[in-house]
Amino acid sequence: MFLLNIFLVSAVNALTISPNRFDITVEKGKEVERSEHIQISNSATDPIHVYASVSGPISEFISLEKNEFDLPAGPGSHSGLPRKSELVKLIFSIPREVPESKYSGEIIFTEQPTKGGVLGTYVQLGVKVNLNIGTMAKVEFPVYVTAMIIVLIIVIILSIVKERMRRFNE
Amino acid sequence: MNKLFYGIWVYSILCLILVFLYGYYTEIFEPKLFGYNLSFWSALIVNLILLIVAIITLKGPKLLPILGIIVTPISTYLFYASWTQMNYLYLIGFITIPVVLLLLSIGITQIKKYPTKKQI
Repeated sequence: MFLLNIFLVSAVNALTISPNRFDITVEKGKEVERSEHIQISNSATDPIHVYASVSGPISEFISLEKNEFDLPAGPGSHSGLPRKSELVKLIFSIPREVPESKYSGEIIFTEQPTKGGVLGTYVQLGVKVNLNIGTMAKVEFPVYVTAMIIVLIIVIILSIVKERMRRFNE
Repeated sequence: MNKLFYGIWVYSILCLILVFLYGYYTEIFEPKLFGYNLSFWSALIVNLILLIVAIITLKGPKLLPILGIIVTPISTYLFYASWTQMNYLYLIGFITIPVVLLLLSIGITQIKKYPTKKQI
């Protein structure tokens, strides 16, 4: 329900984040230090202050470069002008001894108005993080990617069969 | 046409190999070279093959070679962006390019095989 609230709010507020999820796969027994970035932008005409935190079992593997920052006023939701944005660096540190398992959680950004702002409510946005520690560094593709791979294989086979048939007819 | 067809076919196979590496040995794309990780360089090499084939075959029918030249940088970006941003939508775009090129090359071969009434 909490997650539902986060994503319902994300559709109407001025704060946007990209990407909205991380799926990370790491081979068990390997020490991994990896940095990623999340871009947060503000389209509202008021400046906002943003707090960042990590929740869930994933929190022991993620550290954020900054836990709070200011986003200057943006051009407005309907403006075509570029939004003011901020890059937040996150570092994944996975020690060698972590057991094979799946860890998930969220990086939560809470928006608050700064002194010049008029926003009266707190708004939260979440970035979902899935960490898979397995025997082999294997990514679990979503169904649509797997379907597209199958289509590519079929088209490759089809094209070579067509070419063979054309040569045979000649 | 044959050279272009086999070029696209080899390109598709290489794209498929890259996608399998992405899925099963993600870590091989981790090392960085000149500021970019191997996901960029491997996609660039694969796309350079398509670019070279497209340039070589420009003398014949223009549609596929020009399309090949246009999609080369796009495909490199899509694979690199997909790996670095963990966004599978970019990967879908990367896989769609060889599918479209292959289907077009099959279609063009078919049109040549069965000419229209007007062409007759």
